[in-house]
Amino acid sequence: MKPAISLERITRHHPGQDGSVVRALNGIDLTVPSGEFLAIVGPSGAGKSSLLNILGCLDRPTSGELRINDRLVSTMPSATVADIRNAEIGFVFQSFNLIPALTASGNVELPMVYAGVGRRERRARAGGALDRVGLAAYAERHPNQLSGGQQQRVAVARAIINDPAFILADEPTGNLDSESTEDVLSIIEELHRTGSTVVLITHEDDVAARAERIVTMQDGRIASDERRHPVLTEQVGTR
Amino acid sequence: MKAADLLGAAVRGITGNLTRSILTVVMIVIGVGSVITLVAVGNGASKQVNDQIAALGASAITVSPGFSDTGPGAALQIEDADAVRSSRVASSVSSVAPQVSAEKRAVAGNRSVSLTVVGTTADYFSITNAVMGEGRALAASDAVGGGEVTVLDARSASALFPAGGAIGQTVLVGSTSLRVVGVLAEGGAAQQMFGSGRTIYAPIDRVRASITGYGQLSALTVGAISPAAVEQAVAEIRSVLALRHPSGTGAAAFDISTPNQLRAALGGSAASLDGMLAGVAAISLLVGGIGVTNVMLLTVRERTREIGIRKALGARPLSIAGQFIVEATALSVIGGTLGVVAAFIVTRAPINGIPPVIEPATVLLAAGLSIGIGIVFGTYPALRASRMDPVQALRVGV
Repeated sequence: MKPAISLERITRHHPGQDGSVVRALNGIDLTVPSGEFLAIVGPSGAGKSSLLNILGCLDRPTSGELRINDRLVSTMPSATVADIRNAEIGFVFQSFNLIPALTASGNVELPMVYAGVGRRERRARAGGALDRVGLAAYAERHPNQLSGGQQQRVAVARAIINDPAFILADEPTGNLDSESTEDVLSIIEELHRTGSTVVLITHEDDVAARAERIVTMQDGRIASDERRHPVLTEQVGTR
Repeated sequence: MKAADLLGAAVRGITGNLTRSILTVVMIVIGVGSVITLVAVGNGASKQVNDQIAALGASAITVSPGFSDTGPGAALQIEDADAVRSSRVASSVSSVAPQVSAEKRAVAGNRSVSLTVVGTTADYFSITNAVMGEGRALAASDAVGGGEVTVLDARSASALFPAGGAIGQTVLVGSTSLRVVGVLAEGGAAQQMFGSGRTIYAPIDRVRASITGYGQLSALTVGAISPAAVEQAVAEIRSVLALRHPSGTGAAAFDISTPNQLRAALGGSAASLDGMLAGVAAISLLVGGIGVTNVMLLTVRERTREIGIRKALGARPLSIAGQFIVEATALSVIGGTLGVVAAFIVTRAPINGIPPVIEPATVLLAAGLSIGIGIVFGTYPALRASRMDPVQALRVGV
């Protein structure tokens, strides 16, 4: 059984304002089995964002090894890393990050554009993904014609469109009201139930409580790592 | 990323900020339009010079005594004119007009003017394509009746007869009185090319008999049978003259000038005009290009967030760069096309008295330039976009 993600002794240091070295990540070892729903929590400054950037292949670790689907990403050239982001990572951002000039369908199609999928197939698959998040009727709307909750559901549809190794959600409900929060979280839970690996970064305990495993960060290290739903963990590896 | 998708992204980029895109296009229109217009003006100027030379007589050859290091060359005699005219060797020569000339004072009524008196034949006027303002040119029959007639150029006419009505009046040169039978058109080709002074023309026999004497000729004006035969005629003239002046320094004793030489000399000045205009045009194109760079830098900056999103979704650096280069190129191609149209409209009327001439190659040049501008001036902003750090880019405006 291959893990979806594995991090070995990951550090990330960057220069601080007064010439000192900021140790944002200080030796992270973490393995996320395929099909797991993991929440990463911790106070601000604990290194959540730095870890998100490493996991999302948006930033390179100072040292250590990152593997996604057993491929060593930390030493890949940047064009190949772009392909990994495209094929293996489904981003869901706090601020949705839809492109305003594109329709909902156009936004969902974007990862397929960079994967070189033809127009007709893109349309069909985007339609299917929007249907999955309950927005089939909104395919031709632009982001500014959608509510926050609807925009985030479009973003979720975009995240799953290339069938990635895992969904990386960064405070996905941070900008949503409680009703929309529930909508988005239940869609994410549904994706997890059907086999998707989910890494969710949040500072809200009730959001983290939806996950089956919670990793708590403190000062650039993992302070605790606990499994919340032993029943569900038995399913790991049955995907 | 496929080409069609690249183009689609570029089109959305352009329509996303239409005002700015239109202003950029206007800059390119001005750049490309002025390049084509100014090059066309340069072409028009060259054409005008060539037309003037043609008006002078495309087949007119001037033979004059040359000068060597050792002094004047061989003397040109009236017999030389007859020899060139009648020689069987000179089969490319159609007519020969011998000339004598002298600087004299001419008097008409109470006016006295210094001018050049040229004695020549009727052929001179046909070889040089002279255009008459009024009256007639010298005729072969003028030689018969004593030849006391004259043709004035426009400057002489206005100096001697400021009130006009020169035809039928008498001009006194020394003791010789000449009746005015014709006045050359003002601004004729011959005057534009050579004339700073005033010239009057009279039958050569009359001028030799009473004004210059029977010395050597000042020049021969020779007409070739066609403009194409000019070089052949020059060779024939050289061989005829070499035979007649064996003791001289040979054919080099004479200066033989042709319209081609004139064209070459004047063409040189037209070329330097061309170069200057092209320089001015290049500057306006450069300004347009820098405008594209500026706009694309703004666009990249404004769309930093979008670039971050696209990168997060798996856009390779090359796809990002490509999108912005295609966008810049599309802007400049639109501008280039409209610039060509604008140039065609502007050049319908003469500019500064010069009718512009657009050559087909210019349009190709403009097309090439506009694509080139997009690529050259769009590359730097595009590279900036492609090198953007996605973490930083995504943080913008949150």
